[in-house]
Amino acid sequence: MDAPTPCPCPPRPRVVLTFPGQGAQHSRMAAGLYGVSKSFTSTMDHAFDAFGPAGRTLREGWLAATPPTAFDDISYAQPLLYAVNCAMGTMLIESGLRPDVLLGHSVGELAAATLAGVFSFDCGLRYLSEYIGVYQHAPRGGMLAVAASPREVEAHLVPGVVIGAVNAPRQVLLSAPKEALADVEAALRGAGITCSRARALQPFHHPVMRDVVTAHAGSLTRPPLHPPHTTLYSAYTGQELADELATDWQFWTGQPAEPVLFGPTLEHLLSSGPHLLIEAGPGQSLTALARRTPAVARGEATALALLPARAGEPDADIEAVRAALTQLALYGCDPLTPDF
Amino acid sequence: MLNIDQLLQILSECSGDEQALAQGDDILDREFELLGYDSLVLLETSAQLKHRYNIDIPEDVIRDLKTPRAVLEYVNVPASRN
Repeated sequence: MDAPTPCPCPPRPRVVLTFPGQGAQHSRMAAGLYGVSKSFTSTMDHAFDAFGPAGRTLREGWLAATPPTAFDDISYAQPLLYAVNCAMGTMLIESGLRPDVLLGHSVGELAAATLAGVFSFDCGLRYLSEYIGVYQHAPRGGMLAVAASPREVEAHLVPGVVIGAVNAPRQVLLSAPKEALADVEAALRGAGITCSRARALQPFHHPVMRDVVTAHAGSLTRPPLHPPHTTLYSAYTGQELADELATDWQFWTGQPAEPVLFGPTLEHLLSSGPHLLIEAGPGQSLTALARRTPAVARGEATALALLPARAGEPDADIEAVRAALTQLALYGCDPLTPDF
Repeated sequence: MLNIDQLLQILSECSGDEQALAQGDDILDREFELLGYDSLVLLETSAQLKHRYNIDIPEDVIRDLKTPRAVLEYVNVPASRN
């Protein structure tokens, strides 16, 4: 018998699924897969059923050509993002993809945790329903994307404004109640710093959310959580999530008051070897952030998105997913068998 | 006139991607999307072009320019604008 031929190919990269959060939502996000992929469709329908009467409103708002005015509100954006993220991830896994790592941004982390088995999908849907009830008491406000480093931004912060997310070396998201957000935006623009409002109507990742959850936490049920069966990175801790923290409800209910350190977390993850990042949710915001990391620039990591960058033609979603799946094979993934 | 080095300097500063400069001429036809330059990076690029070189590329125009070459042509070849 011949000796096995040494494989000339480089080590297989670790496959990372990433899930975007608030701000990534858009009209009819991923809706091109609805009624096309059986897996995607059944996950979405399961979510709409579980949300009860609100589910019908969510479904109509999601599929409407012109989104309802409250589409960026927590009541629409977060349950839909959770459902779409979970449905995309489930579709990939049912196609045969075996992710090595799961990582989400903001509410995307709940989808990552669901696919890692920390929550069952039903448990996650129930938490989202209750969570919307809690955070409808949040003050009005929002988030502002700023093209500057955390250090540069700090000099311009006004009372009530915090850094809600660090996305990249020169991209932070500020979070604040309404008036303070307008003040800091004016100050930044006055100083010649580029900024852009994120699609959010509440001050997420702001300490004010701690008071909201403290006042209304009684309405949250807390079924037992399970240690992740797949490596789960947290953008709140910046590293792999230990079982003890993953199964602690306080860690999850505290997240809307804590900053998201997605940029540093991603860099930490990518420093451990070759990675293939697949964004399994609407838009390409996380893929753009990943493509600006030194690891991608050096060719040690690759980032691709399953869905188009923005809303497009009806066939754009399915075409984008097909193209991404073809690319995955080129990067050393096992061939997948999608259900469409 | 705007040359590629000036543009790459701004792009690398705006994106925080120091590697962009090292890619030199190869980068001319690489799509911003594939470089991870999202709308915030392009808005900042537009602001810096105005600030440093008094070059005006309206925000809605720079979003549609897909590559560094397209930006250079927009700035240096006025006839290319339609």
